[in-house]
Amino acid sequence: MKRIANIHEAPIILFTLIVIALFSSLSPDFLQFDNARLILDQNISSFIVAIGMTMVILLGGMDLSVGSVLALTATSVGVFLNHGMHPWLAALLGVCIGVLCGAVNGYFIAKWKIPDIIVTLATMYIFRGIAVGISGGTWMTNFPEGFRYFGQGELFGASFPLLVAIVLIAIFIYVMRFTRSGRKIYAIGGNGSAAKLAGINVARTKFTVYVWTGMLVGIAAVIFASKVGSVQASTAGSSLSFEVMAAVLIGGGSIFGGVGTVAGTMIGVLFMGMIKNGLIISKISPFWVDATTGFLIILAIVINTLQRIRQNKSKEGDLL
Amino acid sequence: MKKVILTVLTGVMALSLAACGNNNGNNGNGGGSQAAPAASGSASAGSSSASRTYFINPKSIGPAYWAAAQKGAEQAAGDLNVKVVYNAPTEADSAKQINMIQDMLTRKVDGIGVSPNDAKAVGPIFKKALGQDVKIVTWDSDAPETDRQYYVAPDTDKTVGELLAKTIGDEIGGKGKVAFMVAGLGSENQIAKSDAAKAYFAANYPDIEVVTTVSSDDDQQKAYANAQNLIKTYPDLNGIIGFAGGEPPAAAEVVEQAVKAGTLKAGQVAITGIAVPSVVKNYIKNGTIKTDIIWDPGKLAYTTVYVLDQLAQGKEITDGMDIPTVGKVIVDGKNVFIGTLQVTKDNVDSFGF
Amino acid sequence: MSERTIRLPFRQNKLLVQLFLLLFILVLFSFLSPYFFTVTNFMNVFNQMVEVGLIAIPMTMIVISGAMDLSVGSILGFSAVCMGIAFEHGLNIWASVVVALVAGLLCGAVNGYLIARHRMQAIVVTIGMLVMLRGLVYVFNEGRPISGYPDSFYFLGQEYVAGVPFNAIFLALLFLLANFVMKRTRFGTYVYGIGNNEEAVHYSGISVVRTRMILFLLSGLFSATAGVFLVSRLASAEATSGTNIELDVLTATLIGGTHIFGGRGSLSGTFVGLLIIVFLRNGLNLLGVSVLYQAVILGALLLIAVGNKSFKGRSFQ
Repeated sequence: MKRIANIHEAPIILFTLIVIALFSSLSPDFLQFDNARLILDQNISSFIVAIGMTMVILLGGMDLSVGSVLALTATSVGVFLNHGMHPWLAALLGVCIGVLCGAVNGYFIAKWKIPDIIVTLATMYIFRGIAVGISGGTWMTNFPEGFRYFGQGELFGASFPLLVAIVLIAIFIYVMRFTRSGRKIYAIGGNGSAAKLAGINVARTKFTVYVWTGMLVGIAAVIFASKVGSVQASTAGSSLSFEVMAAVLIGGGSIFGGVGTVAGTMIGVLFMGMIKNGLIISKISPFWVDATTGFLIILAIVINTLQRIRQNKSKEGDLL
Repeated sequence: MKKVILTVLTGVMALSLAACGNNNGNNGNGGGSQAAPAASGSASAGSSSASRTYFINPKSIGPAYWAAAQKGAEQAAGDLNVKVVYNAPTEADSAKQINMIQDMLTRKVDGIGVSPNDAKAVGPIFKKALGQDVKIVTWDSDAPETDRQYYVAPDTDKTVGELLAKTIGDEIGGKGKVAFMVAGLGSENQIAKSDAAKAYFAANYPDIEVVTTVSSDDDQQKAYANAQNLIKTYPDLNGIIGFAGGEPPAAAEVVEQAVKAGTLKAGQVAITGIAVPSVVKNYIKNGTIKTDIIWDPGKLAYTTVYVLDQLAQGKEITDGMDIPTVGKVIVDGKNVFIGTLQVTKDNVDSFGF
Repeated sequence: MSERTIRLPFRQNKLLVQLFLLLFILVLFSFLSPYFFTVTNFMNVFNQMVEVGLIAIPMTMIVISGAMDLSVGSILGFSAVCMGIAFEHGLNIWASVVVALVAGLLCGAVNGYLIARHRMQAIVVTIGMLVMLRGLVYVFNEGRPISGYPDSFYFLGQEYVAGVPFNAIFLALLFLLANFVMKRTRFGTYVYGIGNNEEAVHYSGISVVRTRMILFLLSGLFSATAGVFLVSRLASAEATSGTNIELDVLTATLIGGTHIFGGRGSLSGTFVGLLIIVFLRNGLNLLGVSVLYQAVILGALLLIAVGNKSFKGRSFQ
């Protein structure tokens, strides 16, 4: 099982290495320890959100609302802090709000059986509106010193948010690979009717996955707010959902569900982050940055697909 | 039967939603509320001024800058006893902005105050507005080759750009590397300001090199990552100019963190830019930002409503005209300038926005 | 699958719900605003909805076939700017329009080649195209808007024929034509078939690749057409034109009752969905409701209009 998984992620790892080599030859600053730290640091929110997105995509769904949930959570945390609430309590409440948003998504998707994309498209509008509404149109800023710990603090000599991300990634890799709950997600994504016949409660699993995703986005939002130091409700995380979705699919996931791993997704996020950082570090004209990014995404997908075709000639129906 | 019930339910839900949305608008809670004067009922008996309605249209709804402007516009509505509708799309998109202006022309407003996302694209709609005898004023961002009657601004883009260049040039002692951070590579006022700053450097500080221009597309996290990458890419960077409200705080946050982590010498990178004082208050107090250029967006919007009201009543706009709560303004041809403010450690607490 | 037999009555019922909703919105706003139910306002709305409407036609077909195209907004911006640049370099304006359409077709061809021919996931390919094309726009014109077209060109987006905007007439004709294609031709049947059961279509000896390729080519062409009309309406080609238009288009398509997993849906539904969102937005604008609440209302409407029990049959995929 492990070996197959490794093969599955092989092309994207190879491609990432090529891109690393390319950027290193363009700029001596790229392949250095503190730049590697910088890239990790810049993408912590994406790493954490991507865990949730991987599970959602494994189920055969997608979550367009993550950016809006991030904005809503970060804004609420800002409001709590500005009312003098203790940073830890505010952060905890923020995560709860994330969970609540996830539960709303999950309720409509699992209970009402409305397709994921429609629910999350709608909540994307709704959560964003609420976020800007409670912010009153102003920025959330001037956070107390104590709150900075979540985004910038250190624990055992390593960055605190990075440790949080690593622990979360480890937990979810374990859950997805070795526990029954993880297997259920793969089973539903692979063949929903069969999973149902096998006695899996599809609705409950779906609901749980969306709640977990909400929680992860909530954690990411707290780190985001603390790290960036200010939150603008109308734009925070506006391109997050597409970026994270692309990362999952670059990391070997299939939009039809059932295929993909958390580890692969993390490589996908790293890949996207490296491109963004590398293009600026190698002093490319700002006008070329987006064009090159898009080109590399397509290239990554091409390579992935070639690998899949090589692996199994049989059709998977990955067309959506 | 089920379908029928469902249909009715759908309708009722939509009704209640639309109704509560409307209430929010009227209560003045919303981002784009109607600021009707408190005494509109009694006013209608005495004078007809309450029936004058103006549509004030910023580039987008959401950013703090435009929220501050909204307060000014609503204050003006109260003071002048007119109605003001303050609304814009959620993103700075020209097509959506023009659709909205078109809708408001249908509503037969007396004047529109527009901050155009694209100076050329508003041409046709301004022509149409003029045909309906609607007064047109551009504010914050100009559309010079159109039928607009006046342009309300703190100053010309050129002057603001030069002022920013001068500030940073003085701070870093006239030589070194400077990076520009803009909100959009395509937006006219950003281009004009950064071009003016570049020209100013070339003319007055030939030893200053502008190393690059990065754009955040109005996304904070991107602005933050851009600033991180800048100080990484150019370890000998001396200054950053942020040309829009979101850029200086992002740059300041990154520089403060780098100083704290020991990767950057304190005081090596000077930062200036355009930012609302309340957002950069802490950075100015810490000394990370020494001088910040701003104008009161509220006063800008107030002036816009005032000028529209003067035009609608057929009154003249004259140089040195004294506008209540704003003060004397400079009128230069078709431009109305309210002047810029410099925010420093000493006066940062004195601003109410 | 027995779905093909259910499709017809299902769709008609669905359409009835959407029509009722539209009627309800019209009546509601007529009461709330005296300016809403006027000829000028209606013509305004028709004038504004053309770009979204044009793209919604191929989008509906693509969604019915079980895929999705997120790159339409960038294709719109890309072809608009290509047209502007061609015109700036001294090309005749109508030749520049052809340049724009060819640019759109090319983008569609790239999408189609990767998705149809090489069976890549449509969502990722089109997200990649979305980022790349928008970037190329900035590379081409450095973000500066291009304007100054001859007056004859503004006919497309600004002129009225017998009191009705020309572009709205054009849109209506295209909708009728596309509706005919989807309902009465074999091509339409193939599209529904692929959405319902691709394998069956494949084994019936019909080229799935070609059908999909045509769909993405159409998407590119229509997006470019929308770009041309937008430039004509706004008299300016900007780097940002069409940003996020894919969300409006998808919303119209979904409110119109097209099933996101393919196989079901209709162009008439999309047309009603389109009318619903444009009239909703217009009415709320006229009332001066903040765009923030508009977003919330639109989101709720999407849940209400689409989220009823009709999905139960296919609860998972």
